[in-house]
Amino acid sequence: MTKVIKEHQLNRMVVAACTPITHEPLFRETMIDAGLNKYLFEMANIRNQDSWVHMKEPEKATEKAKDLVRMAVARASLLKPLMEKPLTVIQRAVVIGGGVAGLNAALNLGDQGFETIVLEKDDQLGGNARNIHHTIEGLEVAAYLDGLIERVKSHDKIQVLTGALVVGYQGYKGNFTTEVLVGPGMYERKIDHGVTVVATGAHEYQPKEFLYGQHHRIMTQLELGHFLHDQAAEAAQWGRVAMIQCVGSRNEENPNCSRICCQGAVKYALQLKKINPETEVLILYRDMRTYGLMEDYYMEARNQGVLFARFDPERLPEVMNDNGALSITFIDHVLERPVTLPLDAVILSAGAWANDTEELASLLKLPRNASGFFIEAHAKLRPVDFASEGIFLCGMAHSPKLISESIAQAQAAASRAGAFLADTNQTISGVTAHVDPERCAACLVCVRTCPYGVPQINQENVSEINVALCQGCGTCASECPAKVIQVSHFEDDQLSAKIKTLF
Amino acid sequence: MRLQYPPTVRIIEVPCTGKVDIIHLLQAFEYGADGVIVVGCMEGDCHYQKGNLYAKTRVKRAKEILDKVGLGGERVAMFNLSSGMGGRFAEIIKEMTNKILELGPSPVRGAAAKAKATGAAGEVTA
Repeated sequence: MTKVIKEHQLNRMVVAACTPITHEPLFRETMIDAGLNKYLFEMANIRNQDSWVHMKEPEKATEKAKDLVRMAVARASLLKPLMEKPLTVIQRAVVIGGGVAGLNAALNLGDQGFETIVLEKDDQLGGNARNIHHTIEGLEVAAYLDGLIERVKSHDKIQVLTGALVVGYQGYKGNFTTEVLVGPGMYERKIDHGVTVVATGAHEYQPKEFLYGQHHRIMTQLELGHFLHDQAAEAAQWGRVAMIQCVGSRNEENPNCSRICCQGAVKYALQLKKINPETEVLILYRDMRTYGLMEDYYMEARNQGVLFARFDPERLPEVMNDNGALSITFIDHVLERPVTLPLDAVILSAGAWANDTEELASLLKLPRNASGFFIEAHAKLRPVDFASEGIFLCGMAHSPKLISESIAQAQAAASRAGAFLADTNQTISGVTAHVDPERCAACLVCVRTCPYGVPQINQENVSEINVALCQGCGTCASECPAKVIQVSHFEDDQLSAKIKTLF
Repeated sequence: MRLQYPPTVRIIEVPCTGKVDIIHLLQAFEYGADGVIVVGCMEGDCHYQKGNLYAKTRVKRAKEILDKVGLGGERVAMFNLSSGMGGRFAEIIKEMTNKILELGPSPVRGAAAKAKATGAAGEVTA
């Protein structure tokens, strides 16, 4: 491509291919290599916007592809070269959330030599890992967590703020300011930093179904974990235990599969069998998914006599409490008839629900899915980045995960955040708004419109936009009654040309 | 997801629906579009705080103008979607295409409409 540009002395380039999200940066590099300004480039996305979505109408899709190329060419002919200003990056990271994911991200960033501040809203670190005694592989969680917290707390690059509530968030990549209220005194603190890692976690759903809360032997998985740890002798007396899967998951309120509860049930079933091999364990499931190598533990559970019975979400099992005597009725999937069994305990495999991040998401302007989990920029290409540059994601804030998976994702997020902090050659986008001072009437519409308060009336009595602060959204340009504001790269004639060429 | 939708839209990228100018909405009709769709982020979730609210007001104003000149305000519509709502996007394109087919070609295009019976222009944010 570089060769062709030089050979034919091209001054613009249009590529008709796939999405600019992944490929525009690559082609812009090519432009630079060929000695052209990278903004003189335009892409027609004839894959995502065309061939993929009109597979059954090839002729119409081809016509559309021609239109898309025509539009790109029309705009390209009007594009202007733009200059980018160097970006200063504050060499400091903020990690929101002090669970296993946040602590690992902080430790990794600290070890890379970056000053890191951990904001934890609780008064102690550790998050959900505090409620888990061992993993399915038998690894001790408490010992690991204590070691992790100790390493973070004693790290000379890491500062931990507990009881910290994020109340304000401003700025842009490399230059964020986070306002926090800290501790019981709620003293205010402002932190300037270059990157943010979001690791706000999730929590176990508090069931409303299956008589939860009405009997002390109807408990959730995490409660069972504590019980088996603290009162194993009592658990050894149990004759029969039923576990119900997908409680508070895969329903209307929370369509998400919580992913980790299947292995949780198998883990605790094996533990119950270890405490007393005579205890009957019945797991009532919709779909068992002990993904990856955890299938071995599922097989082990079957070999040890754990019973698995599938139920239909339309015909839920019924838990009964007859003056303290527990029993369960379910439709056996083989017999196709109701079976009633007396029980010593009912374990509800309650789903993992995203922590309440509504306010935080709105402050940081981050997208979340219907279940409240944060959405990464791209599942395959940018799995730990947010679409907004300089902000990264890990742990259960993203989706339900095992501890090992949260650690791996935290390492990934920290490595992406570290790479961002370490890159000292970054620039600010050339897409910013500009005022034509000759025609500005100083009507103040732009001053009032700008969400960032950037336009100001200067000493010449006209509006002036500081390009270092402008975010390039273009709202002022569209509101300006005199049409004297243009957003570079999205100028009025460039957009009009795209429309006009269609007809 | 590669969800299928009618090949009737041409997407124009803007930084934010806050950049969708009323002039561009009307220009599309002047040149001959049968309909225009503005797709912005969810209300309250604008990356630039309130660009989509400005767009909402402008789309409303464009509707009034289209009604006044006899083109019909229903030819322009705004939808709010998050990046996780591809399914809804495909549905919207289907619904809007059906609506425009019911309304018939824009009278602006006149004779030219016969030559090119399909094709509603759409404007969508990045």
